[in-house]
Amino acid sequence: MKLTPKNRILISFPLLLLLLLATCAIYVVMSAAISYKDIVSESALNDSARISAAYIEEKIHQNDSSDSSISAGELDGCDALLITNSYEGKEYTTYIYCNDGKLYELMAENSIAVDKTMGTEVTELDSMNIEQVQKNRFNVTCQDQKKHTTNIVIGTRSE
Amino acid sequence: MHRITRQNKSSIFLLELIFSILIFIVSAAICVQLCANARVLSNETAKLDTAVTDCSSIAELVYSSDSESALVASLEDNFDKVMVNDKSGAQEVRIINDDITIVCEIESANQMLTAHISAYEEDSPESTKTSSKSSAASSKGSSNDASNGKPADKSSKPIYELNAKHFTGAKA
Repeated sequence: MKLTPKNRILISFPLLLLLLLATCAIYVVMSAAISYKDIVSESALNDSARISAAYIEEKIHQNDSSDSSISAGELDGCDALLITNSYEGKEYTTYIYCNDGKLYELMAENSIAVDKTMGTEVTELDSMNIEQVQKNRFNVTCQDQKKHTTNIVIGTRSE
Repeated sequence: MHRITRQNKSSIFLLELIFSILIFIVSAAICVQLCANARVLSNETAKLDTAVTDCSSIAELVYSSDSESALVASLEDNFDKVMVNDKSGAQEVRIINDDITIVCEIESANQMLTAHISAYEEDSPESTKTSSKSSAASSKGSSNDASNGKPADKSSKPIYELNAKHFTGAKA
């Protein structure tokens, strides 16, 4: 068959439409994927600082008794929450601190020399600041990898 | 018998494509709507997270305060934009933090410190007006002017509510 201009349009127009459909389909799938990825990563980051703050809050409340002492201190230059307990006549301290983008926990007998590399990793966290503003009140600031900050106040009731 | 020409074939293909595109447009609209809803839901969740964290912090301040005045002082220390309204028998403290307005109604009776904490989304024109007023108030720390501290659209539904009670008798 001879390819007249009319025939050429009749063939090329549906093909162009097909191409347009394919491009739009790819665009919609890509934008949905990007949007979903953004939402998930944002929510994960939001959780990261919040989980750390909630973990510290839980630890403080768990040890809020007359048998324990809770204070803000340091471990090898890192801000740390220090929880001291006695078990069978021996004094133990739990250190919760942030180092190299992670939150760590370390429990050791007071007579043992400890450093920041000995802790167990809890979760990812960029930085943490613990301040004891009053005898029974702590300000905890946790910052995630994208610099989102969660600031909480934790009160203790034991004397 | 009708003969299928090349022209007819193209027309059928074109018609099929048009139908496909119509279906695609409907599907794409649904997908875009779903994505937009997911984004809105994510933003609302982030606001709710902030509200829960702030309300919990205020509740912690209630539990570790011995009196109404000590609680108000703690709130002023811990939050940037704080407005205090004296009401009969109670104090209303309004805290603006990010996109959230927190209204804390504090009462102290029979050695019991009670706080009703409600978090609102700060999106009404009324609350925006208050936000600018609160900046002026924050420079002073607090304001007792009743007309100055009326942001909130009380008719709007709070996104989070929390009640905290603390018996102050033993310490006071």
